Amino acid sequence: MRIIGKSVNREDAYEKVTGKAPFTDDLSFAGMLYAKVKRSSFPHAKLLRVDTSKAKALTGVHDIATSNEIPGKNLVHVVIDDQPLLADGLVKYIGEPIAVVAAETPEIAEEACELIDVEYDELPAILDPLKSRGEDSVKIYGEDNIFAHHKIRKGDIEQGFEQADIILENTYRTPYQEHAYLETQGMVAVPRFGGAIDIHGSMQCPFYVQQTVSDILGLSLNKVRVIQMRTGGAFGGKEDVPSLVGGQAALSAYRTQRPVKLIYTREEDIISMSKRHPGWIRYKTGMTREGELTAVEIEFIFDSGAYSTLSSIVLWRGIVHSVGPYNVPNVKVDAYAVATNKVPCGAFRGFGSPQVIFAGETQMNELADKLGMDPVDLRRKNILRVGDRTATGQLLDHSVGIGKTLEAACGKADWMRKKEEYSKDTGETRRGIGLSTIFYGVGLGAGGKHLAKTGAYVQVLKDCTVQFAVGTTEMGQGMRTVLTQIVAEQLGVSYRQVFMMETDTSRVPDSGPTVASRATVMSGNALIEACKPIKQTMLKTAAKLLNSRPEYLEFSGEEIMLQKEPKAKVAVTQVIEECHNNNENMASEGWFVAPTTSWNAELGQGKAYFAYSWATNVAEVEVDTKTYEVKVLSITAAHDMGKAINPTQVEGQIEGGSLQGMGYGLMEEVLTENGRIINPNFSTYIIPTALDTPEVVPLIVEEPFEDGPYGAKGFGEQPLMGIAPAVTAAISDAIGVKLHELPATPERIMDALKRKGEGK
Amino acid sequence: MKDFKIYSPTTLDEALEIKAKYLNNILILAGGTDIVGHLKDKLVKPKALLSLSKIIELNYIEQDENKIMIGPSITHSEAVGSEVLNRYAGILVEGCKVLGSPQIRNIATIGGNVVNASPVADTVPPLCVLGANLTLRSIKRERKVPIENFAICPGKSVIEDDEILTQISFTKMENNDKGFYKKTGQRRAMSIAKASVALKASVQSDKLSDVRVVLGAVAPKVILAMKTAAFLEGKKLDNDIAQQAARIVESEAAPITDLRSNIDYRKMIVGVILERGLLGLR
Amino acid sequence: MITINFKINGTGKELIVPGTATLLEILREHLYLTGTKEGCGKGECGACTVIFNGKSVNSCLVLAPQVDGCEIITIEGLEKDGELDQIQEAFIEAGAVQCGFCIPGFIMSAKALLMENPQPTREEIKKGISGNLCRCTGYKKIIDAIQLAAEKLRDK
Repeated sequence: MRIIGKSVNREDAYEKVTGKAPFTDDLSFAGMLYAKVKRSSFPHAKLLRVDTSKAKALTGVHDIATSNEIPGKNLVHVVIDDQPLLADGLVKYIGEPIAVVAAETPEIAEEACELIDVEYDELPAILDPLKSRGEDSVKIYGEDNIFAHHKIRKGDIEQGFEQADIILENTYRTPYQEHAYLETQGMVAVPRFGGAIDIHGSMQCPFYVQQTVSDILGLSLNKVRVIQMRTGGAFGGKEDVPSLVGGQAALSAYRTQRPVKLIYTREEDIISMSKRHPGWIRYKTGMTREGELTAVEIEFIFDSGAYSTLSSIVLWRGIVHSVGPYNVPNVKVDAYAVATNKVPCGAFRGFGSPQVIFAGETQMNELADKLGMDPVDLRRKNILRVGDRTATGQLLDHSVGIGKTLEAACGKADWMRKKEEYSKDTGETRRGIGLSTIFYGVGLGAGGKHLAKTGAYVQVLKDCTVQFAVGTTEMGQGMRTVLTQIVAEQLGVSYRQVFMMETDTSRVPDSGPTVASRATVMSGNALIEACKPIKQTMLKTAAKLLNSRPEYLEFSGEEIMLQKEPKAKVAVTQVIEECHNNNENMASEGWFVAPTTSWNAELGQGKAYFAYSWATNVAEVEVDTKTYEVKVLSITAAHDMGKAINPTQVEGQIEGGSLQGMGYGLMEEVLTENGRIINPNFSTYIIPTALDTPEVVPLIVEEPFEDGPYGAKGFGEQPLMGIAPAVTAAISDAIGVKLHELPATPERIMDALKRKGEGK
Repeated sequence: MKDFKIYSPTTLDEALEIKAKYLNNILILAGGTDIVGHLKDKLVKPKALLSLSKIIELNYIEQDENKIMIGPSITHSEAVGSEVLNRYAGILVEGCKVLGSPQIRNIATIGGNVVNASPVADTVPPLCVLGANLTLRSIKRERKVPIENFAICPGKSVIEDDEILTQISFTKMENNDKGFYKKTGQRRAMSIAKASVALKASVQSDKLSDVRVVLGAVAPKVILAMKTAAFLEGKKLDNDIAQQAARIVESEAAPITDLRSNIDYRKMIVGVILERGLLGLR
Repeated sequence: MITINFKINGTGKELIVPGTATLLEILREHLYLTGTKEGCGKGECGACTVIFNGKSVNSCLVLAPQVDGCEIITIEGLEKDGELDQIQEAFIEAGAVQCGFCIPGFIMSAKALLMENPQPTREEIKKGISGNLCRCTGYKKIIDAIQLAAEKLRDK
């Protein structure tokens, strides 16, 4: 292949290194106003009065909208319809939007927000997720505060534990994680003729924003056009919540009939936008003396915050991944997403799996210890192979690369030798090595079947360039580049001849969200479909030029040639010119629906995802035995993504995801006090800097997926997911401490050692 | 941000007059790295801003035979690049190197770091062990305040409303003088201290004299660890002494639990920093 | 409002701006130089890094009176006559760009570093960019890119 599998330079790199790439805040329109959002100061309160009179009187203020001013439905639709765009008589978390101000400058809008007089009647709040389900807890959702309960029932759990020689049971806790994308949320709404509106913004899911704006304004979908700007990082944090931002900007623009820009400040972004769900996980594992898993029983709770948002499907993905990439005959899982009066949680790289993976992989590592078995050997015994069934009963018939990643990572890291060598450390710093093995269901799976579709549009122009559009988005992950490679490969043109237009809801049909590592598979396949009729036209035209028949011809590089007589050929550019001269249709649409999945909710059994990506992470650390500071020396990460369409981009995902996973493992934690986030900025919410970065060694394993473009499965989220347990296992290997709570800060390590009676 | 009246005088005398006129209604803008954030958050609401950036006479590093005099407008990067400071005040240079980020160090001034009266300020413990004096001037008078007496609690100091910090001066470190400044933060760059320790002593064949030990981030202000210093006075440096000193300094720290760390860890870590720092002097 | 005179990317400018306008606002809103980005507004992320009198600073923390009489280089000032700066070229070639929002700030920090130290070690590069946060790349390819730029400079 000419372009697939090659590390061509990123399609958008030039504009990004020159500062020319247009992000949302770089847009301006004549007559544009600036919006700011008035937010709740209480975690749970009735709104007795929202008095906007003083704010309205301020010079330069053009509009203030509260829930009363919403012309359509006051609703941000995600899964369950419980979240308003603006609080209506009741606030359920600190930071919940109450009103939107539009003014001539951001400063005036901010001052107006301060002048809005809100009278609250404070209500008791439920802040502890472990008490949320309790009988006497304050109820803020339904009768039991449970947004969702998902389960798995496989085999006979009691029998499974009877067969076990050892049983390990632990409770784990994981923190809120903040996405910390460098570009905060932002949208610009522009009224158009015919009562229509355009929304330009930073987002993953334009079709979600379109739905919310349509609901809020009471406009039909055909009058709402959403255009994605360059998006400065997302990681799931721009999946559902941009609908709030878009809805707010649209409301102001619609009411003032002026363009309105709304850019969140960093603090506002951190206090009010989604987070990774904090998790509480009780994990019980049964194993034979020989190291075979007999039973896994898990109960876990996700603190979901004030509204249901995506919690139900985050939780669902959590259960599917909770047992790990292992053969386990007997499984019982119960998981709950519970309501609290805190910021609503949502999507974040891994989507409910990093929490349970931390617990599950720590269980495996501690069991290996208990058995005196090498944790790599324990994996070798239990990992899934072709012909095996997952915990949800799914038969794996091909593309199972876990074993290869295990051998690749452990081989590259020199596991055996390092394990031996590090165990001999005696000084004030001790080294350790640890691992995790993970799997990840690609695409939306059975939990999101109704959205599992994508469209594409391709046009070959008369100057032999190609433009295409898809419904999925580029947020930094490299989709533009990878899809450009696919189109160039398909049509026999050079990479530089192909240009992807910005994602725009008016160009392609609703293609679902850009989440779940689905863009390469879904849009890649839709583009291949879109190229088919154009290629047919080109073959037909080439046949005329070569005095042959289309079925005897094939694409070869940038030429079309006679299969049996390679010398008889014609340049693709010549064919394209000829097609245009003959008035052929050189534009086409493509459509792709994901391979079938299935789910039985009562048993938690079924084909959860159409394919899985697999990975092994080996972490090496150096621990200061006095200060408990941890330095991660290296992370060796082997990933099976089916096919690396652009290896450099894949490496970039591995390197970035690994560091984000290291942050989750060691330092990142959103802290709350009485429901208020107390570290809403980058000096208090700590993410790794260049000086905290270990050597990340990315390894690519390719077990092709037959329904993927060129064999590719999805890739993007996986690199984060297994890092935390690999790092804590390495710490444990170095200093013998058991860590069941993240992040493993020096303070937590000190406490864990104290509890163990080994502290000073 | 709200617009204010801005003064950008070119001489200190003009600046002092403006300060005398506005008193605590004017905010001094030096490097700006702290106060711009405070202004944005509306933590301070002054009537006017007094920029010192044009006053050349506040921007100097000078020396005489025994002393070093620093103008408050010297940035942390300028201090790190100063031959004089590297030669005679290495401890201060260590503090300047670990403050904030390169971008912050390039514009944030030492005067600003001191006047903030923050317990986590990275230049204050080094200046304390160096025995620095602060010159505070108003149109009426000039006075010198030992730096350890300057801060009262976070953000509050003895500086009067009409005063401006005009000089930081201290005695040069001599040949036998050794010391260190070390901090522990939440990460390896752009970190605010969980705890920090500065020490200066005269060391002759491993024997310590004229010991000063100062702790950051473990009390409402930077504090002198007097008992630790007294214990170390005259002692010969070895593992045992370093360990004993660590126990004493732990007892002198009076930290709190906040979002960066907790009491137990902070007490422990000042001990470890001191112990390792001491052993590093040998 | 105050009047400020300064040099931006080699060209002299006189502007009347609010005294509390930040350099970032002056660049983005008064000069329409939107290549410099705001990530936090508090000097905690480095996305707004520009070169100010030869040194990197967070433009979100510099106020108008400090700008008067100074010389500023922004990301827009690096490409000369259609030719990219070596650092920009290296960022493209090393695959150092993902979402790109932090990238102008990183390139300006790298520029300031290489102006002062044209042949930095890997550790010096890490220190030089330690005031810039990136959430996508894990920094590795950014460090690679700066090393590559240093090589390009040396070979030039």
